[in-house]
Amino acid sequence: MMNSSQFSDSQTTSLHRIPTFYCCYLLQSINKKQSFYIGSTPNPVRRLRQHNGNLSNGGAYRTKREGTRPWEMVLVVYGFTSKIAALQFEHAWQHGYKTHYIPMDDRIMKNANSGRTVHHKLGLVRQLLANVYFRHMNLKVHFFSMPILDVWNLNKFNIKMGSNEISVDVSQVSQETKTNLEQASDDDDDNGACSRDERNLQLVTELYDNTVTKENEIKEIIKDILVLGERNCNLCGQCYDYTSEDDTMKMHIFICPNSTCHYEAHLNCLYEKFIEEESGIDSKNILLPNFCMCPGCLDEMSWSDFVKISTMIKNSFSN
Amino acid sequence: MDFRQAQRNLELIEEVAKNSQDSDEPIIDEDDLKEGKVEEEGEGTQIPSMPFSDDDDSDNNSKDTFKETPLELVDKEEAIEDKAPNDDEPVVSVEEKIATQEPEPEEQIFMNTQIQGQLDDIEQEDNLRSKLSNFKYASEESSSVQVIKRSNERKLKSKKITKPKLTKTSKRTKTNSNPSTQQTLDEIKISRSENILKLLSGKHGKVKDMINHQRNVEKKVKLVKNKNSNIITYDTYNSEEWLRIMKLILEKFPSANDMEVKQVYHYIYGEEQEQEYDNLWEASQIPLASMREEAYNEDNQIDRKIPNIPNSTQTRVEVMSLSQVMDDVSIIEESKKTTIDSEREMHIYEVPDSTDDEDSRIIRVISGSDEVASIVAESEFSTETESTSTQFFTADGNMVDGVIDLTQGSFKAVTKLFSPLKVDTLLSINKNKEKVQVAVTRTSTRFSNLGSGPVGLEETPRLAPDEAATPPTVISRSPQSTRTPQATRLPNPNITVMYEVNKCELQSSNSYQSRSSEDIRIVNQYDIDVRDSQDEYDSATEKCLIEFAVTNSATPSVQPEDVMNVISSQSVQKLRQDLKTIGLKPVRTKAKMIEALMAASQVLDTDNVDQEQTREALYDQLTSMIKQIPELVSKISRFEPITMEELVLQLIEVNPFADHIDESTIKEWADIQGITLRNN
Repeated sequence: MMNSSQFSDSQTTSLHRIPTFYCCYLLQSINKKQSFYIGSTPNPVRRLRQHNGNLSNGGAYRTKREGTRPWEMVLVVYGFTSKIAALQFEHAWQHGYKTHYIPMDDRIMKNANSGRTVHHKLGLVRQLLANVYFRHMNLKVHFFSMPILDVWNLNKFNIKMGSNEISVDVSQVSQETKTNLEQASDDDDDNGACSRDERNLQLVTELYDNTVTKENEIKEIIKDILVLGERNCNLCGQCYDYTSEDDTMKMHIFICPNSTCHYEAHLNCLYEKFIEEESGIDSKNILLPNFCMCPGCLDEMSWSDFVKISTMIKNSFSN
Repeated sequence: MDFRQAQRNLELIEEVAKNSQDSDEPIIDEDDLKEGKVEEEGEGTQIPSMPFSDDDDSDNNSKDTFKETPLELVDKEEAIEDKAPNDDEPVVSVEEKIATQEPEPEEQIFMNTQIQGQLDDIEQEDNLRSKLSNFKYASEESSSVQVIKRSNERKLKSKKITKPKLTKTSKRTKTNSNPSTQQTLDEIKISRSENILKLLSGKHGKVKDMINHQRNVEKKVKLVKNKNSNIITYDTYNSEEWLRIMKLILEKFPSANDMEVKQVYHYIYGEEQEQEYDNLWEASQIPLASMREEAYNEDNQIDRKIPNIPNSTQTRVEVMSLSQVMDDVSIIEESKKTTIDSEREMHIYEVPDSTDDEDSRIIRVISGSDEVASIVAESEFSTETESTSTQFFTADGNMVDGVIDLTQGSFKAVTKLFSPLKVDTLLSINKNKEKVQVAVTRTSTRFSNLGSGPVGLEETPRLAPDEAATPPTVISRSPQSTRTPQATRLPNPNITVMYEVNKCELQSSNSYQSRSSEDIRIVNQYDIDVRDSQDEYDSATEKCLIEFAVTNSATPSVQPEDVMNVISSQSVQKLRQDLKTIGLKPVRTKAKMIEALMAASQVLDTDNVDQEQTREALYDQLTSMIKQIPELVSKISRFEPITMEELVLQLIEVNPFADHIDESTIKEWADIQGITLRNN
């Protein structure tokens, strides 16, 4: 096993950190059902307001077009391990007819002008999530609109997601809004659209706030541990110290946020352990582990979760 | 034409003629006169032919070459002179008086064909003479004739160039005879040409200047000619003079008498050779008596000591040119018939030949029998040596300062070398013997590639006599190898070849695995595993011995030579496709394709032609390479985006093969492995 001290990354100037919430989203015009917009943002709430003109600053050129506003964020794909990865996903989603993430033969849209339906948009999401590259990130899909979820479940292009099931989530509120929406449409009331727009923003805000709050909670828990000073890696036994002045002591570590666990180890020690375990099983030469669980509480987590916590600690608590 | 004009012309000619100083030439004059008649008869016009005119062709029917032009010129001039009497009756008498040598008109008519024949003869003679003058002792007269002729020729040429206008006016000219018969013919010649020019132009001063200038030019030409003629002639000394010179040389340099020569011979070769062999070439192959005593052979298996050579203090190196070696076929074939004298000792030196490329090597066998030597040659590992190597045999074991000394006469050469792995050559040898044992002292074309750079001839005698005496203790064994055709043809898997290498070479020997893949020989050597090399160090000496063994292909490594053969036999298109399917960078030249594919075949370690598996193997290789860079691994493990450049650079650092891999391949692999690539 490699000595974790080898990996002390005190030399890195701008530390990499898995963003708290970076997502790619699909907007659907409430007034023009066939109008869609694909974008990416670390803050979907702010971005949605920009698109709808609620915020004056920030570009929203495409969504300014007459008759398209207001926009509804019908789904987000989140959990990207970096802004780069999110942008890659966004670009691939926008250019499904030529992206290298989807093999030529599998492409559901053959040219730039084809595939404008919601079926194509969702089909592309399925294809991209099935891609080996994005699977490493353990991305999540969250729907804010029931009709869109129905389309998703319809899976018109019959795209197989592979062995790994993508975690798909639906906002509970949106199910309620479904009924509300039906009523609104029956009433043929303009307020219905307006309220729908607002409700959508609430749902987005809810998701975003939840994620941020969750991370802040974890951060607090870990902070309480880190202030204790010198700690030992549960795997290699070597110590780390985020209270120290010495940056070399502040290597990447992982602390299980589970209140009953608090397992702590060097990220690299964990990495070594997981890689060793996994390559031992099917003798694969891999660089990123696929199946991980906290050695302490045996909670199943994705490797990106480990890294997210670790990079968060590193960024938040070392200078 | 009236008489007064003729008179005036005459005066002008005389005036100019005073300057001319060339010697006599009677023959030409006579001929010229005759020809003048001929031309008068043949042609109605009096236009001088080639040099002066462009519209009179039939005139030249018998004279085409430039050699003839001097004569021609004179002819024309005569003809011009003769024209006057024919055309103008009142002048005839005067003209005939002037032209005293002119024959009778009746004769002229009669002589027409005869004159023509004679003229031809004279021309031939002249040509011959001019040619001979280059080789023979040139007599004063003939050479002068030549010079004049040539000068005239030159003059004509230059005139033609400088004054083309004049020629056209020549039609109008009327003849003027030259009354001064006392003047030399050369004078006449020159003056005549001058006259014509004058007549043609009417501007006498101008013509004078031209002629003077022409003369100056000619003088220079003459000077140059004289110089040239000196170079051309080879008759500096005649045979008597040569004899005398030889005599003088022999007197100055005393030659050794027979006794002295014999003494030297005896000193060098000892008595026995003197008695047994009268042929130096054969004699050179006889080992020293002292060596014969020391030589032994226990069971054809164990290394033998290389004895100290008594005369080793003397430094001498025998090297032959390739052509010399090739010439000596007869001895080789003769020697091959003889039986192997296993008791004889020998060394093989590889003498890197600086004049050849590194592939060609010269192997020297010192003080051994040629038969054994040929076996050594056959058991050389590299098959390539067959064509490029030459073996050298000396009766003396010394090889110190790399001086080529052909006067020693003590060499023996083998024209052909064989691979040790080849059946046909070894079959007969191995029938009775389990192993062929060969002591090899290596000085390195192969190993020198590892660091010493180009090998000069001076480097070659790395072994001092005492070093050569240290017993080479390496035994290399080549057990049956299954993959290469050579290996499978092996009749006896236990051919043992001993290599003596420098210790440093041995230590660095591992690195020759990374040698460029095009070099088959190295590839071949690469196949031969170094076994127990660490244990068999002989730290006391500079040399140590290694036991080489051809891998028994227990490890599933493809013989690179096989791959090489397969790859190089393919078409460029196929190669390009292979590059693409494996995922290597597209390259233009076939050589580069082969290089890349060879590198891939070595790195990927798969003999599988299945392209998909090759691609998988390439990905696997990339992953393994990345794992050798902990820093990069930790970055990847944290999903940290890395730039393509950074990734590729680090990969190349780990294994230069990465340079051959196409970027799209790396991207694909990165996607699979979850590596986030970013732009700068």
